[in-house]
Amino acid sequence: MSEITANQKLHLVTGKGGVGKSTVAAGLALNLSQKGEKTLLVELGERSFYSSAWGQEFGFEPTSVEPNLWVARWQAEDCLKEYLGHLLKVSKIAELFFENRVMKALVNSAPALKELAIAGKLTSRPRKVGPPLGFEHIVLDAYSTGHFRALLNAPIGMAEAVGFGPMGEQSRGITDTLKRRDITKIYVVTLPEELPVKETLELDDYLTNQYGQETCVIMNKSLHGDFQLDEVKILSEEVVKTEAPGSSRKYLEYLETRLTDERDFRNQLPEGVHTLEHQYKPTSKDLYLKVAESLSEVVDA
Amino acid sequence: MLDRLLDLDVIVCAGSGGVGKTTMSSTLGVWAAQQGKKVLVLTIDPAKRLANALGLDSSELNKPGQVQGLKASGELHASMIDSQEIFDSFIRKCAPNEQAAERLFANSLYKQLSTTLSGSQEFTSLEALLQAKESGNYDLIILDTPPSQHAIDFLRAPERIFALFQKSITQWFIKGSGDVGLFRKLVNQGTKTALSALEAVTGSKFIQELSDFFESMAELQDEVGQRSIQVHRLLSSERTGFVLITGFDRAKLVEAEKFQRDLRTAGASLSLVLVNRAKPASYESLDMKTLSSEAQNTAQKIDQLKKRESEYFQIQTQFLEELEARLSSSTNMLCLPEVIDDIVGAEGLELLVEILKVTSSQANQPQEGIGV
Repeated sequence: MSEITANQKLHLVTGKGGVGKSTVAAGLALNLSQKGEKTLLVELGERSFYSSAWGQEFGFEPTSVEPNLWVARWQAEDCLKEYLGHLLKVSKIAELFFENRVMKALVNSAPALKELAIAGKLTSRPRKVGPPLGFEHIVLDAYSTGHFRALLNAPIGMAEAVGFGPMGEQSRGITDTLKRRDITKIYVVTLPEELPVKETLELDDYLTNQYGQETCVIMNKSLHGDFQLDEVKILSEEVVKTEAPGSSRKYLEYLETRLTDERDFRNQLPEGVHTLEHQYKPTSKDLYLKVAESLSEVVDA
Repeated sequence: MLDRLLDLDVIVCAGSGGVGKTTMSSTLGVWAAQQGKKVLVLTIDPAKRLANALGLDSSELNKPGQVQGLKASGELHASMIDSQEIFDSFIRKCAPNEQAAERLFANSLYKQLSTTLSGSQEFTSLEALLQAKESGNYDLIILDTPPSQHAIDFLRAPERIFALFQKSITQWFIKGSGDVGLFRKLVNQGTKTALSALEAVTGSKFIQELSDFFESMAELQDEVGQRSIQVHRLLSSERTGFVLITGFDRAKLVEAEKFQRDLRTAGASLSLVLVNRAKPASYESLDMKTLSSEAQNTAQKIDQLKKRESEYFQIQTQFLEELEARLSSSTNMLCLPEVIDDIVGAEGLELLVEILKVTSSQANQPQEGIGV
């Protein structure tokens, strides 16, 4: 293994929809870049999420946004196009391929091809296939849990379906890279709520028991950073004896329930869950800087 | 404001993940049942308490059951969609014979398609909607769409699946009798070159699987084509309305505008935007004098938390007002407060209906804006 491949780290961030995946991914990437390491933050899909925070649009080519930090938005079609161009050595043929109406429809509809293209691009440097990405870290704001599993499964399924030939080889290489703990780290973002925790547990079970990877669970919007359950209980007990307004009493009850739930959910999750406080900030660079600071513990672990 | 929804036969609740879509779909269902309608709520994967409130925790998948314990003149029924089963039965229904269906089930690419590929859940939930509509059993059907990154994914995903069956792709892969190779069938030189390029990098086994897959799909295309027209007709019908359920963050809210535009392009209409948790739970600062020093410390921390929260809501509300001004007048917007009550059973849903009704009647008063 060369020096370069040994150095590149892949950070995949997933979780149920709405838990704050993109925010955690951005905070993580900022934290890494602040250490002076060249970092690429990658978002997926047709629309940019990060454009609102940095005030610019992002595309396939990395755009510099902060010192040592670049942002790119990958679409499967672009990944595939680049890959074909690289393999075929003749970009004319690759161009032709994608200008072809039939091929366009095919790429859009063939099962697992899109996921495979993304996973292939992501792992191109460690596998030494395709144009290398010159970054020390790639942080992927990946899909939500269900689709994320599809992303991990696409190369496995493909290798099973197509055992021989270049496609099978490539697929096995992608899976090997994603399974290597010294290269790939998987972060699962969750909330102290039923469904996000349920999805986290399911994914963790799959990753640790079937896939053979570790998970780093980050519980977002935690209240435990601000409050201890006991102190809220003490306050509630005192307030019951006073003339405090009903709304305040109700709010205290709610706070107690939230803190109890959070404790219970943490007990259900594997050990070593990291917590991230509720920031009460709209999506912005300011929010990401704050999250980057809070994630130091996660990055240094 | 809500009453306009009563003119509809179908309500599609869309929105990105984690915004309370399933809860709001059920709440709308309870509300419509209270208005005397016979309602069906179709959902994918509700949280335990909600499943319990809807009586879904013990019922069979794909089998609607009536929700018990509601005070309503109408009826509420709920059903949980089993994606895999609906996909398979759809294939069986469209296939010309049992053999064709079995062949497709055996294809390794099909297995990926029906279980893990994005878009298949959207596809099957539309199929479930169409089946429920055709049954003629309900006055109103509310579809809770599958979790997705963007609201519009719901409309795009089925198109992608339908596209699989279309002639334009499949014809290039159809083999003739005997061992006439794939490429010999190709008429278009460009496609031929492109396919050889694909084969060069993927290997012939992949092309074979792919070809087999599309060939099996092609047998189904006539039926599937009919079905896709019916789905499109239903979604663009005047009696079908979309409700966008969204979170309060700026990044989520911008989606509303795009969604309205995208729906219009698709010939459908956005009836209502429900902004969830758009007002903080009320809390009045406690009288410190009555508290012990330890409790005072905690009370102060709550004050700080509420202050941070209120600043956040102020910034967001400003953004929300700008957005509302840009939405077309045919779309109403309702901002729901954060609900801190425990939502348990049918009563919990009835409480949410009350909150919805109060919010709606406030929004109807012309002088009142959507201030916090």
